[in-house]
Order: sequence, then C-alpha cells, then structure tokens
Amino acid sequence: MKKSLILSAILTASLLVGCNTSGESPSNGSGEGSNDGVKTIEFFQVKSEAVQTFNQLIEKFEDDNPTINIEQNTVPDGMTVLKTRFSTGDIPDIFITYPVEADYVLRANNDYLLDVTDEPFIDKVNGEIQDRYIENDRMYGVALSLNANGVLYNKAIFEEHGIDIPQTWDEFMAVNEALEAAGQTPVIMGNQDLGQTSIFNLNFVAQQFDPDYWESLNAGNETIVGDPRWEEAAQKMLDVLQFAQRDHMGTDYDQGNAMFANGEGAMYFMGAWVLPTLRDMNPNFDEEFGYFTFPQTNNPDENVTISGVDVGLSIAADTDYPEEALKFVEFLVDEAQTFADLDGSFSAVEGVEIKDPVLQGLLPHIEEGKVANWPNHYWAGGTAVEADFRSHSQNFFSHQNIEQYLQDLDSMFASYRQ
Amino acid sequence: MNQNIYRSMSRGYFILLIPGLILLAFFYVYPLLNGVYLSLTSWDGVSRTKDFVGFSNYINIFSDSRFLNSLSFTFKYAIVSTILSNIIAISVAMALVSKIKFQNFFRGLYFFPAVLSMLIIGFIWKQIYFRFIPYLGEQLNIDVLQTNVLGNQDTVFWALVVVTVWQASAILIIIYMAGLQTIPQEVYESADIDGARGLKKFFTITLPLIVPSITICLILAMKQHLMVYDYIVAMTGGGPGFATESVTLLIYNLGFLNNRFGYGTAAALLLFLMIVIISFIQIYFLRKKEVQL
Repeated sequence: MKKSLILSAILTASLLVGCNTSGESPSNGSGEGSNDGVKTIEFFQVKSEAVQTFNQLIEKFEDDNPTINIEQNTVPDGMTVLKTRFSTGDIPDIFITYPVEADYVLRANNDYLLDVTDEPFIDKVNGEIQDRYIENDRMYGVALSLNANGVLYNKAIFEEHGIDIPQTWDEFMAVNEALEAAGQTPVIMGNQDLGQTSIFNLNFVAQQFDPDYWESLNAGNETIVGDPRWEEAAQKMLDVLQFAQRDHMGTDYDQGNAMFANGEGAMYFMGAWVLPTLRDMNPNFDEEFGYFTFPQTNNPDENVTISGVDVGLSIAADTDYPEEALKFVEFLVDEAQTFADLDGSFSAVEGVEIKDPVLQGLLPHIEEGKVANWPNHYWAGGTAVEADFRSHSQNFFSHQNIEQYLQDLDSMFASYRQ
Repeated sequence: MNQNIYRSMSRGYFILLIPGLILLAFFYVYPLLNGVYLSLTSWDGVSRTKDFVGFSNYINIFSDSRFLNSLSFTFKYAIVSTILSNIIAISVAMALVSKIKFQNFFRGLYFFPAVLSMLIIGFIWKQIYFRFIPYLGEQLNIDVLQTNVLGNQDTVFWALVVVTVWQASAILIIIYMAGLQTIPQEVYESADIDGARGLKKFFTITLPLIVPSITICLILAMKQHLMVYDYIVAMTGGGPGFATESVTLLIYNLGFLNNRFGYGTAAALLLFLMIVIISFIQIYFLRKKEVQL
C-alpha cells in the first residue's frame, strides 16, 4: 500500500518534471550559441544535390558579412523533418517552401512565416512565378529557381534508328512503336518507387486542367468518374506504360537512373533535378543525352511543360535575426545567375541566362511561357493528397483498370475536403 | 523470517529502482499519456491550438477502409510469418543440438541474419529481388519470378514473408536451442525403452518440454511482426498501391505525410492495445500447456 503510494508520488512528480521541460523547449532552438557577436542563422534546405552550390554561396556571403554565420542543414527526407520541427516548435530561421501548396498555406495562415511582400528583392523575381506566393494579399516566400519536367532521350539511339524529336502525341507514339519494333526499350520507368509514379502521368493532368478546375474540384463541384478529360489522361498513361521496360513495376528510382544513364532505354520522363545524378553516373552525359518537351496532345501549341518552384525560401516569423535572414535571402536573389550556373536549374529571377547544355531542350517552352505549375500544388490536402495520388497511380499501373482508378481518385479527393 | 529479510532489504532495492522509474516515466509514461490526449484531438501537427474532438478519431478509424486494409495485411503477415518462422526455428534448432559435424560453424551461420539491421536486410533483399530472382526465373523458366516480385501485388506479400522469416528465425533458433538443451537425456532414454520413435517422441516428449520457449518465441515474433516497419520502408514503401501498407507505416503516413497527428496517434494506440491483448491471450493459453518435470 505504502509502496504504491510512493510510487505514484514519484510517477506524478516525474510527470510534472516532464511537463515543465517540454513546456520550455518550444522556444526557438536555433540561433543560439552566438560568440563574439556572431549571429548564427540556420538555413534548412531539402535538396541534397544542392549542398555544394549553397556552400559556395554561403562562403561568399560570410566573407562579406563577418558577423553573420549561416549554417546549412540538409537531412534525408527533409520535408518530413521540417514538418516535425514545425510540430515541435523548433523552426529553422530560413527554409525551403513551395508556393500554393497546402503546407505553405497552412503555415502562412498560422503566422509562422515572415511577411516579405514589401521587400525590394521581390521585384527582381519573375512576377508570374512570384505571385504564386500570394496568400491573403501577402507573400510569405520568394522563388529562386524552377524545376521543369520533360523527356530525356538518348541521342545515339535516336540517331541509330533515324528518329526525330516528336512534336505531337501521335508522333511520340510512332517513335515508341518504331523503337520497340527495332528491339529497343523505348521508355525507362522506375515505378516501384512511389516518388516516381506521379511524374509522367501528371503531365497529362497538368495539360488538361487549369487552376480554376482544381478550385472547383476542391469545392466538390467536379466528378472525376465519367469525365472524358480524365478518361483520356488515364488512357494515355496506359498507352505510355506499355512501352516501358518489362519490369518497370519492379524498378526503383536509382535503378531506373542507372539503366537510363547506361543506355538501356531510349527515353526517360524526368524532372531536371535528376541531371546532377545522371552526370555522376555517366561522365559523357551532356554529349549523349538531350531533353525535349513532352508532347501531350496533337496540337504543339497546347502542349505544356510542368514547371514549379524548386527552391523558394521562407523565413520563420519568430526568428531571432530577421534583418540578417532577409539580408541572406536578398543575397541569394542577387546571386541567382551563380546559383543557376552551379545548380543547373531554371531561374525564377529575371535576367538570368541558362547555360546548361541539356536544359536548352526545354528552354523554348519556358521562354514562351507554355508552362503549367504542378497540378498537385492546387490540391486541398497538400503533400498528403500527393502521396495518396502516387499510391493510387501505382495501384493503377498494376491493375490498369481506368474506372477503378478514377473512382479511387474521386474518393481520395473527397476525403480531403473539409 | 523470509518476510522480514525481504522487508528490511526492500527499501534499499526500492531506492535503486528510482532512477529507472524516473526514466521510464519520462520516456514511456509521459509520452503515452500525451499520446492519449493527442488522440482525442484533431491536431494537424502545425497549428498552435489543439481542438478536442472526443472519441471521434476512434470511431472514424473503424470505417476507414485504408486502416482496415492495412490492419488485415498486418495480421495476415504477422500470423503467417510467426507460424513459419517458429516451425523453421524448431526444426533447425533440433538439427543444431543433435550431434552433427561442424556444429559451431552451422550455429554461427544460422545466427548471422540476426546481427544485421532490419533496414540493411531490406535493402539487400531489394537488390536480390531486383537482380538475382528475375535472372533465376529466366533460367528456370518460371514466369512469375521473371519480373521483380516486389512490383507485383500478388507476390509482394510472400516476398516480404520470406525475408521476415529468414531473419526472424535466427533469434528464435537460439532460444529453441537453449530450451532443447534443458531437456534431460534420461527422459529420452526412458522413452526409447517404452518404444517411442521419431515423430511420436517429438510430440510427446520434446514439444511439451519446450513450451516455455514456444511461449516466449510466439510472443516475441508476433509482437515484432505486428509492428513491421523497416522491411516495408526499405523494400516497398507500402506499394504496389496500398498492398503492403502495414499499420505502423500507415501511422507514420497519417502523422507525417497527411498532417493528421491526432488521427494517427489514435491508430497507434489501437495497435498498442491489440498487441497487449494478443500477448495476454498467448500467455494465458500457452501457460496452461506448460509441464513440469
């Protein structure tokens, strides 16, 4: 009896201790440990391939500003880590944020992000892209670079079979058939990886639907089942799928990259973010491979390239050093040309020239403005609904039943409506 | 007298327990209670306020087809893996305690999978399934093996079971070997005199005497397999589609991908309750079967 009394007393006491410590911790964990007046700012970024690029820029910045110390932090699965850090109140000073997407909206509406609308550097960014950050008439982030999505192709294979770059959907399918007839694997896909199952198929979706449609879908005014546009998109997914390598469902991202870089297939639907990896795998990558825009339809004027913000930066509202953080972001915007050269991405900042040889293939669409944002950025539910979409798509690639797929998507979108 | 010694010493023991208790309370009891509270809210992991919603998370979860689907996968997987790994472990353990050549070498060999981490094993087998098995399938002309079995919704379940049983058996073999070595030789001798042979000897002598080992092995294996996460993350990510989404992976996805911390915590607590209940049932029924010499 007595024992259990003491025991419960201890348990209660330790509970209180636990409560106290956890009550104190949500203060801003970063930015501390300053010595000699040096202000440390944590820069949390999720692109592991861009670490070196940022390091070079940070070095330059710190030379100009000896009192500011920028600490770059990159971890695997960064977006999830960032989410946990938000949930525990341990928010980095500067971090990568994508506009429009639900996570951004949620954070902006909960006053987690610093308002940068009136900062002078905003004017240097391409207005059309930067406006994606508008939330309640204010902007809480700035776009730095853009990714783009197209078809990488093996020049040697195309030349060997006398194939020209297809401009329309019919030409594209003819290329596939010709390659297959010649015993080549037309398309490499890594569909075992969930991350890969929403890349080529979103091209059709992005081409078919504009932001207004998504607003209407999010409000519950659209039905996917029976919509001919969705049926067409799903049918085109299956059409492409039959030209993928036999074991595309058992190949993951890394294996797919290796197969394509080693010339085991003629085409690869992939975003520009894969270029550094492929260059590592094949030193002659720039000479042997090219990019062309995905011809979703038979009308070249209607085809679009998916392009979203790749690096966009937000500052925590409760950072200890807002001035210094803004200074660093402004520096990155001013150095956009250096960043684009090192990173090999399209820039969101005006007046930046693209020198990357492979990316040139996508340049015409980008310059003509024939671009569409990632459609999933408009979906209510954010990264969550995107993750579900990937699973449903992977499921669809297995069962190949269009009606089932569209039904799944309908109930998926329904489950995220509030 | 015994009681007195016990009483006078108990205070000393009790003081020694305190640091452990504090740690336990801080790292287990407090998070658990906090989890119970979170599961009653609709917290999204980001907002600064947590809305109390009562038991609606628990009510909704039982009509959530994704949760039910993952639950049925997890149970099917756990039961099949537990049974297979225990059968294999008992057989191998009996072989390893018998008088065979290179006994120590084989013991080391069979224990080897246990020293690797589950994640590493997952990545290794992923490569085996991607490269070696399809090659084997082509050589032997077995159609179903010619593509990666992890990419096929019909075979992915068994692909995971094979890896699980392969690794989980290692620890179980050790426990069963220890159990088998405690059986006195005289029992077998008298059984021989009574004319018991082969299987009869196994079912009437060996099996009843290693029931304590079976109890512990079944509980350990069942608990481990119900909480399967590492293999799935390493090998399938829950796919193809939702075919291998285990409850633990679903909990992770709900919390960290879907921003539904409250709902995910409710799922986690339900899994916790199920494991507790299943373990108690296992102990209750197997204790009855235990025999004393």
